[in-house]
Amino acid sequence: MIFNQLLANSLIIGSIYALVACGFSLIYSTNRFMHLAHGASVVVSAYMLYWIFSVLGIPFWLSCILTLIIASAVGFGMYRLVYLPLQKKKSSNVILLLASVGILILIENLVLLFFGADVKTIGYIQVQKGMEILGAVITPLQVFIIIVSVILLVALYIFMKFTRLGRNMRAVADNKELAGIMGINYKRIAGFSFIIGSFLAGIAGILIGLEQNLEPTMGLNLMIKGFTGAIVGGITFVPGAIIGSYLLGIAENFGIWWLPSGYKDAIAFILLFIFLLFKPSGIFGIDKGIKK
Amino acid sequence: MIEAYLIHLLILIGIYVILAVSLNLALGYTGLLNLGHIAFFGVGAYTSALLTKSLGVPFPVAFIAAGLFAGLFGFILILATKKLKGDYLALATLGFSFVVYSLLLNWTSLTKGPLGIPGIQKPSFFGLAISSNVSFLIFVAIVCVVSCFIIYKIIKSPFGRLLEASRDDEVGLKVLGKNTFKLKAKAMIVSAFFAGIAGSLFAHYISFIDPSSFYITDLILILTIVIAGGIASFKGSIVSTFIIILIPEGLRFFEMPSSILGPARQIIYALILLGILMLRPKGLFGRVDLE
Amino acid sequence: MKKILIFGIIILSLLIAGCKVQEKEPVKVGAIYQETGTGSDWGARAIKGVNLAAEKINADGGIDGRKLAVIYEDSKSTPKDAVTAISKLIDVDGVKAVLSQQSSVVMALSPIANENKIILVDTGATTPSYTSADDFTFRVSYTATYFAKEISSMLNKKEIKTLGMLYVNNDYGQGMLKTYREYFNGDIIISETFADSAADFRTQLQKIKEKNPDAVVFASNPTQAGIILKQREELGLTQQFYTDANAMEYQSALDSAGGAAEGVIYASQFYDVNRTDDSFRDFNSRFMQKYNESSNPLSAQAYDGLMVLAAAMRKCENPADSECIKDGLYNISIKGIIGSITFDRYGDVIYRPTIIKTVKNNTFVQYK
Repeated sequence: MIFNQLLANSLIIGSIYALVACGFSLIYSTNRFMHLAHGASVVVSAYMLYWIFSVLGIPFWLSCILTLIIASAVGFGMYRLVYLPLQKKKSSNVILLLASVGILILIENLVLLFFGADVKTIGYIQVQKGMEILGAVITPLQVFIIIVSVILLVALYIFMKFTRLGRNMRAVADNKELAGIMGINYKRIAGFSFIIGSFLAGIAGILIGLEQNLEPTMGLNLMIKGFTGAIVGGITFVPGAIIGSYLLGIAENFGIWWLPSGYKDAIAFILLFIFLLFKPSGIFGIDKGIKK
Repeated sequence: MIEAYLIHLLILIGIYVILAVSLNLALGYTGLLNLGHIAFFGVGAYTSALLTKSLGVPFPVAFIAAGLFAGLFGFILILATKKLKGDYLALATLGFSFVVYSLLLNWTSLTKGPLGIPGIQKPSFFGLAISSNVSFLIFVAIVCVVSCFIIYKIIKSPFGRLLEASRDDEVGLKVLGKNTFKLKAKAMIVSAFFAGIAGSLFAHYISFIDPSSFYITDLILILTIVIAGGIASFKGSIVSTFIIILIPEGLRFFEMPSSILGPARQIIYALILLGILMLRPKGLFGRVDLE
Repeated sequence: MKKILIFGIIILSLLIAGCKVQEKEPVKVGAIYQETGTGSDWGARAIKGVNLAAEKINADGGIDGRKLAVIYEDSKSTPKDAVTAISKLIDVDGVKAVLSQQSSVVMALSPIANENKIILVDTGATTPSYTSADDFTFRVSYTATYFAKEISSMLNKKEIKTLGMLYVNNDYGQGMLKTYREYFNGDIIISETFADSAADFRTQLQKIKEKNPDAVVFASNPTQAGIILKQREELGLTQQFYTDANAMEYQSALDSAGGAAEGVIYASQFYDVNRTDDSFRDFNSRFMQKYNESSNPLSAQAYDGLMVLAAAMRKCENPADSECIKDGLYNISIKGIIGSITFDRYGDVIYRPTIIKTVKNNTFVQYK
């Protein structure tokens, strides 16, 4: 029975990491740099839902739609205001990475400034005992989160492989100039990747905000976990990011069954470090141009 | 009593100058994208604190030991990341920071974890205690000047030129038969050593350390200083430290509550970092671009 | 000749004015409390108490004709920031006495206070480790002992054999664990800990559920307390949960529990707002008038902290002589709001009553 509960916990937290990782991975797949400020998109979404729903009192579903629009806009804004100008100056990936860290710190502290450091709750879901499925206790919201991440897994795979936009994104990722010659407007494609990726961050922010509670540093923490999941699964293969996140969830939950609970984050860090050292392309990723 | 506050700021600046100049040695002159520098700082601080508090080791020994132990960590890091380049190297070193932070946090039997180490003594040399802040400032200033002098000498030496060559054209250097790994390792170890002794100074000044001082926020601060000052600019790192530590202090004159001061300071650092990257990527005095 | 005379008069009047200014200079006391951070609930209450006490002291003529000025600094609920704060208070403001609370904070401040001969009065920290003999550190607060002893005797009476402990990983939580080990007769079969900033306790609760102790004791900040109770309900833990007032008796705990706080049992300071003695009524009504809410134990402790400090300062010729204040405190006996205040040789206040309370219909009531 413990095993089932641990498995359930792994799926729940794995899904949460997956929600963050898939958007991040989509953006990396198209643009080939690490948009670590993705975590900021998640925080902003969660706090926007809090503000629009819990503070302003706008109906829940409308609040969600507004939140998703804001999330996409914020992500797109980051691209146009910071990344695109830097790319025009032919900045290296390291500069883009540092810039993304700068954006992340900036936004997190703006959230801290406006909302304060204390933990906030979005009081939409009632507290109740979870359902018992196969000896594991799990709440309806948690089941919903798992289902959403699985749907995203399938949807993103189909999107990247079969739709025109998806194929264009991969083309731009492989070779920007060549794609340009073939008539693909890579600035537009990149813009789309940020919009869709940040839309996914919006979904993540809403669900995570409902399930856990809000605090300003959640963006950094989630980004590290989501990033680890993406690296483990293979950062160039978007569905891989989701699978990698589940693996991280399993490693964390089964790991701290034996280790003291404080080591949970340590597991993620060590896993990340090991993969970066020995298999940066991850489990499913293709080793294309990672080591320059 | 403003002088007391000024002394406090100057001590911090002295410590951060050592951190900035040592990071620039690795990042700017050798081209090693080391985001793990804060880990060396933390290792140095904890080493010095634990040796003096728990084992009663005299300060001068603990001080040097802090540098040596941090240097060891530097060696481990360069060895582990031997084959990585570019942003993957940067991320792996960042991961290293996280792992060290995790160790400091969880190895409670050694470091007391989140409880931290209170009551770290002020330094004393052979019976002569450095008790007042003024004398501590003089001590830090001496260490800072000596450290900068040593690093400056390294940069200007033929060895230093080899480091810059390794940054600009590693393949070319290898063709000439130079062992570039050995070069990089030496640079990293020296860089880590000085970060370690800066950590020792920090621990004995603040008298209380816990893992939270050696995490992302402080890493961003050091990075911003080095990048703003300019890659491979010795002068730039020093000037930049003064500017970046002093600017947020101007906020104090606006009488803001501390719930605003804290985030405001971080926002300023982030804006400076973004501003430099976008408008003047070479930094104030830099000669070289970030690769 | 005239010029010298005028010059002399100017110098003389400046000197006299200077002396006068010196005389009227306020007596400064530092107060390091959690204005922000995970302990802000506690800090808010303490600051209210200190403010009210400062008002009363100054209304009663201050310290030998000089005004008492409290300089507040934000500890941000972290020892690191508290240390920076006390350095500033000592170096820049020149205070000779500091009030503070929160176990990890006062543990970090204590060596600094002793080294610099500064009086440190703790008005809220519970950790037993703060207790140290014959030095500059004092405490006017309930300690873990009072709470843990009360709950332990209840558990022992109910013949509870096995206990699970869930505690925040800092001096406060560890202090609780240590004290329960001392007073609980049965076995603590599992103890799980979490970070000061943690907001998810499911893994720890899961492990506790597996071990299935008869009862569970937890120690955390108020927001965490609510989440712990909420998550234990979601995970289906059925045993009775116990804690202390520092974790539970706050609106933020009820809010974050979302209704799941019903039935939790906790030890609290015995604080009857309906007390009829004059000094309490005076304090409570002034509190209500200034803050529009009823007074509470943490505010009263902070109030008492500043009052007893002022009393000792008044007895000294020079209120900046911390040695004199120290001796004064070890020998003092005054009537505080919580109870009478005298210090043992460790600087801990003697005797405090506790009661058991619970949450019923989302309000804090006495447990029957």
